[in-house]
Amino acid sequence: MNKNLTATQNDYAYFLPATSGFYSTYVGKQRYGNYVDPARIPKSFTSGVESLNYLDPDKGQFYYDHCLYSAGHANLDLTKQDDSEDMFRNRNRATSWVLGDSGGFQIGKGVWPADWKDPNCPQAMKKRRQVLTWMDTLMDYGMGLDIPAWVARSPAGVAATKISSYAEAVQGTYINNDYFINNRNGNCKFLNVLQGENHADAEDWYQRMKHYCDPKKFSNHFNGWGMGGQNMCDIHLVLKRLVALRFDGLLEKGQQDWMHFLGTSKLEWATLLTDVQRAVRKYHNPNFTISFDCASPFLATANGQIYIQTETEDRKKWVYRMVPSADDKKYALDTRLFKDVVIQDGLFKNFESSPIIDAVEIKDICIYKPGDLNKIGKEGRTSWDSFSYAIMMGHNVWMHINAVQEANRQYDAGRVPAMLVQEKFDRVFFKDIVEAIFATSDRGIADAVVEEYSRYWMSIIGTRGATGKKTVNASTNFAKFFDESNTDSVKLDDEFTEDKQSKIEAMIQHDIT
Amino acid sequence: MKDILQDIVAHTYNLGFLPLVKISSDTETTIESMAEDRSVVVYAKTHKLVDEFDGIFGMPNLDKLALHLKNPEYKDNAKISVTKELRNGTEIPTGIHFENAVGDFVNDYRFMVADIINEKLKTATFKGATWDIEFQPSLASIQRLKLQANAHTEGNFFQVKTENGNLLFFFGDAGTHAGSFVFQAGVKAKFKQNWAWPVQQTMSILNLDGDINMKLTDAGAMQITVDSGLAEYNYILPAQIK
Repeated sequence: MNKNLTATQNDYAYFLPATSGFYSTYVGKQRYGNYVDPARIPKSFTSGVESLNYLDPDKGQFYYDHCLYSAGHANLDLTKQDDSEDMFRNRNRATSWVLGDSGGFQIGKGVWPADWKDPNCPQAMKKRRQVLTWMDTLMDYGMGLDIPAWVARSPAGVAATKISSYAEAVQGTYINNDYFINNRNGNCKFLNVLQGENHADAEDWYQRMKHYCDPKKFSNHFNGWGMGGQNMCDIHLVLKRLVALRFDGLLEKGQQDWMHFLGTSKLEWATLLTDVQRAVRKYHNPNFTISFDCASPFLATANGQIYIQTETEDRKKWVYRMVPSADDKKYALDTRLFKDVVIQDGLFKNFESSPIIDAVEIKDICIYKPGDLNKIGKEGRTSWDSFSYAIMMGHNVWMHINAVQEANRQYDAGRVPAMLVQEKFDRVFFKDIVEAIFATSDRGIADAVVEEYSRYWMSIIGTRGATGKKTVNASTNFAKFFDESNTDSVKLDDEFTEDKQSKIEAMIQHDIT
Repeated sequence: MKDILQDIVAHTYNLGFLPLVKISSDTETTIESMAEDRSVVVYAKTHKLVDEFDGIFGMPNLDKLALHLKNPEYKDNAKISVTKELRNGTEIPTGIHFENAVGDFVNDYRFMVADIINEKLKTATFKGATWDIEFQPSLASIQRLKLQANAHTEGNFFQVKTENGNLLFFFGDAGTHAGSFVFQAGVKAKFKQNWAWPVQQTMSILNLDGDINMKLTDAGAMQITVDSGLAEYNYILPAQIK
């Protein structure tokens, strides 16, 4: 079992677990007291709760040096001690690397109310300053503080941000980007976030924002690209953008080396992004690195799910398999290992263990026996306490990272997920098309290759937004020909997973414990 | 009453993508609906004011209304009337009462009140367009469209181009099975864009009974007008693109 996932990262695109504040709180608070009763900590956790800290090569049950943490969930006030933030405030920068998400999502949802289109709004300025200081102080890379294009369709967002149109979202992002450019101290490298809900809007956004990455325009320009909106789920748009960046001179070695895809959980994308990274490195920028994040390991646990295996069958859909985890009060005194019980008792058909859960006993997960009262003095239905969630989150994180790496290993060994090969008429591999796009130094040829496979790109399903056949839709021209009233709802598939995460974490902390 | 109801159902619900209808009736009676994916917006106006439709209301669950209208119990001498209630000092339509000839088989179909329909169905105001091509499609052209659509079921949309004075519809592309045909000859406009429109929606509308007129603009919209004899329905389809 691989306890050093950093060592096996190879040249794959980096998966960044979007670390839950609920999870990191355990690591942080335990450093300053017995947030978790020492008797409650599994015997196998040789470093106590710190064993969950995957950023620590010595104390973690496993080591993975890259992750994402969101300013939207963090305490941004660095003038005050906050034990719960210690996993990120006091980490070893030499052995860990963290991308800070900016909190643009929080702006969009109206969680950070202010007039974001007014450069002088004191509330907006305070938050802008806090986020920048937090990034410069704690993060290796950070996302720019974008105003998502969808904010104008979110009623809560419009009311709280005063942003009521796409144009105002652009304006608000200008203000934030200008502030960051003019006030950053250089300790944190920033990614220029690209938004847009269809190809036309994405192109418009790019044209308006690209100068923030341009060394000719700013000596302290941003250092790479953050792919949001349709840019993170539509491979056609991704490849179009990469071609544009390359030939616009905005994907240069030492200048714009990093590209991050927000909220990407499809396992196939782990291999697809590696293909893209390798092609760009081979033909244009040897430093180019792609990362992608998702909160699935944490969200899955919060929903009671546990990862049990990774499926990477040739020419099939590749998935992380999850099932409802063991939750039964009858196990509260059972000293058998979790991994044994779930098989012996027929709870799971199979179970791939992890360094986190391998030596954990079932009673360490199913902690409450019948009659036990939880922390709020009630007998709940679940046998889990809050720390049960944290342990399973740790397992799920390992499983997800390992799945990403295993998918890449299998891909390199010749197995191909169904969506990355087209065999209807000719046999065409995704990696070969990507190679062709970047092998040429002629922009016209590169664009033509991208467009030649316009239909094929629709079979490469992204995590959210308009994916698959829905990438061709009426939204662009509807907006051109119609004025719409009553825009009082917003439907963005899984766009609000961060929101879900916050709610679920609050539920775990306050109701279940 | 039954005729106009059947007409509305036939030109909205029966198409398969317009499940909810808004009726506004004052000095004229208008009908609005929009597909959930915004692929089609319809504006219609009845040729004669429908007196019973006084006010603004929604017609939900049109499947249920369609069943009542087809019910043999209501075939002959049925009483089909709009029910009304006084609310906040105003009489508003609340539903349709169905009663067979002898009065022993009844149904009440409920309307959606104005507040709710205004909330549920977004009001999409057409900004207008400069139509580059306008023609009455022939039955033969519509039949040819059906033939091509049946041969290319794997695609959700067809592309429209102009070549040599012809308006051509294309299915598929160089990477797939593909086909094309002349839908309308003798067009003067030359399209610069290769817009796409949804096959299913276009076919369903063109299959409706009535006088049909089509308009297209190179800016990316198509309007199909169907005059049923009782009302004129204008279906506007924004072109589809990534």
